[in-house]
Amino acid sequence: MSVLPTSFGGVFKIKDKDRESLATRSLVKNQSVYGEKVFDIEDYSYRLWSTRRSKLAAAIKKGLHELPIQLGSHVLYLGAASGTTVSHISDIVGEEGVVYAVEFSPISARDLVFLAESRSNIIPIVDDARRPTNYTSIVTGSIDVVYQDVAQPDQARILFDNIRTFCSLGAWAMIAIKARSIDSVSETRQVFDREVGSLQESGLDVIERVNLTPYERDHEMVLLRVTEDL
Amino acid sequence: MQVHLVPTIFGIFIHDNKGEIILHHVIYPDVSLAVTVTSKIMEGHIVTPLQDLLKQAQSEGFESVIVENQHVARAIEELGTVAVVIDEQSRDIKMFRSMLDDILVREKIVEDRTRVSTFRHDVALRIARSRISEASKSPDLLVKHAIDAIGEIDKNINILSMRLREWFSIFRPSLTRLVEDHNQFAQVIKTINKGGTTKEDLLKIGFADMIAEKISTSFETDMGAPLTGEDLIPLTQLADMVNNLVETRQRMEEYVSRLMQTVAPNITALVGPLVGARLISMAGSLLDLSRKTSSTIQVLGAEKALFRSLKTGTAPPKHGLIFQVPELYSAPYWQRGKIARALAGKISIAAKIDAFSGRDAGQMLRDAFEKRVKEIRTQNPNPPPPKPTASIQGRQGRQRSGRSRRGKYGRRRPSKR
Ligand SMILES: C[S@@+](CC[C@H](N)C(=O)[O-])C[C@H]1O[C@@H](n2cnc3c(N)ncnc32)[C@H](O)[C@@H]1O
Repeated sequence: MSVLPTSFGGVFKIKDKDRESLATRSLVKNQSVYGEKVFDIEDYSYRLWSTRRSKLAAAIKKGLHELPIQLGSHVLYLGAASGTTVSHISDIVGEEGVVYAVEFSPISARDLVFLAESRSNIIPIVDDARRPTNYTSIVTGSIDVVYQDVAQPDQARILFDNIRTFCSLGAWAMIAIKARSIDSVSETRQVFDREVGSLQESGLDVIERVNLTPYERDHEMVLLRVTEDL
Repeated sequence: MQVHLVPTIFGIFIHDNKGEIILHHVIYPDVSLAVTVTSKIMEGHIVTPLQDLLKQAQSEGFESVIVENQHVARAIEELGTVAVVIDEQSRDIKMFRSMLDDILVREKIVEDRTRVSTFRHDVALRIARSRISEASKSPDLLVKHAIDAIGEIDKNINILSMRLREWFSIFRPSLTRLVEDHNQFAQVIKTINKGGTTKEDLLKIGFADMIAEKISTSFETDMGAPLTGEDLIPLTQLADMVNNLVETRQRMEEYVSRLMQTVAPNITALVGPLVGARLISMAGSLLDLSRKTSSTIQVLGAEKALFRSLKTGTAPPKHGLIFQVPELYSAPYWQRGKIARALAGKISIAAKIDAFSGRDAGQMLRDAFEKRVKEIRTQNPNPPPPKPTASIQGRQGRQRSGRSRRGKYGRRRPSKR
């Protein structure tokens, strides 16, 4: 078994015989967050990053070119659920970085809080991402990346409102667009285009679009950047 | 001068449009204070640190403060010292917030960046935990349990009282006829156990003069087995139980009434806390109730009758639970269907308001309902003529099987006009 770096800092490949999987170097030794395998290799623990459980892993696997989430990044994560993806982002940004994890379902947030107890760089926020000013008293300091996976029909609007509340020029955004939750009738492709179009109209630059099939059906990961004053 | 007010977990800050702090109230390093201040302000309540800061702002003579959140604005408005303006997209505030972590250290409010982070982590965890435990204590769930408990207590009061009455009638058969109220019946038994059987004793436990007289004479004249002290022990214990249950029920009722004022003030204004609570419980939750159509609400609690009517083609029920509302049960039978429909319509509106906006429209709905009841009364003063029976005419006889069913629905229909 061997561990190899990828083009993204903090993201690794673990080679076991002829199988290759994504992994992150765990901030907490020997911790498995959602049942993923953990390997100890030379002083570090690596947690396998499941492309079926995490859309960010799927996007990386499907060839995402640029990952703004890096060592030291300040990330605002909307729709954190129980913290599956959040835990890997926490690994990547490290102790100097921070992940503000917003989740409004108290049931999912229970596990999220549990996770945050063992990781000082996760700030759990049990609130509605539609009301960003409800959590401005906790989220102080700058935000580099807004990551969003809320699976709601108004997800573009939610993303934009959060960007406008927290980000300045140069900030990044990543959104996992779920076609089904926006409109079940129109063609998936059209739905993606419409959503991406509305984000562009509101002043964001589309950097990259990655279709997540076969890991997630009807999903696209879109990377955006704030290039004009909002 | 217009200034910006920014509440954060580290402290509350007032800054000018250059981002310079003019006034501040530091909360760091008190974690619990940060938790309460943040939670209270976000519920639109005023807290001492905010109050103090606004007093200072007032004496500085600031015209108004700009805030970016409506809850914060509400809290400040409640205090009424300084005018407040909401600007959800204030660039000045955004700029200030995004620099705050640096400012905190530069102004020596917090020792270093590590402590900024650990404090934030501690406070956020505490707030998140309390949010989660609050949610698991969702208030309409409390309403449901309490009102269901009341129903179960009632059943128990009935069962135990019936036992008590039958049992006691072996000794004094007339009492059960003279005292209808279960609680009072139990009280009489307890009084007898203490040796009190005179009219005075009965007046003491709240009977009116005449009935007290009747009861005490019945004790002397009644036929029945002789009553010994030993017989009285189990009877008194049972009576005690009934009294306790009645008392528990009363407290439970008060609890439900209080809860309902906050959970569903509009429904409560319309039909009272207990019927309202039963409707919520029957529907499952306030949200479930708000999603039901008014025709479903009208027969909620009459599922058995509804099912029977579907199976056998008898008249569907005109009302379920809502029959307990005085305007309905005191109305003559031919007005009840119309009143029930009007009431169900209003309840459906009230439930939507309670579930979604929380606006106070209770009195308005109540007035509208009362007005409608008056209309129904004046428009339908007399009972409808008796329905023609099959024997009257051949023509009707021929149509009977088809008509009898539709005819019954027909009685419900005309008032829709
Ligand atoms: C598809 S799941 C996210 C999975 C997660 N991102 C992961 O990869 O581990 C979507 C989550 O968004 C949450 N959500 C939906 N709308 C929201 C809102 N307005 N505010 C906050 N969370 C929301 C849901 O409760 C749900 O947990």
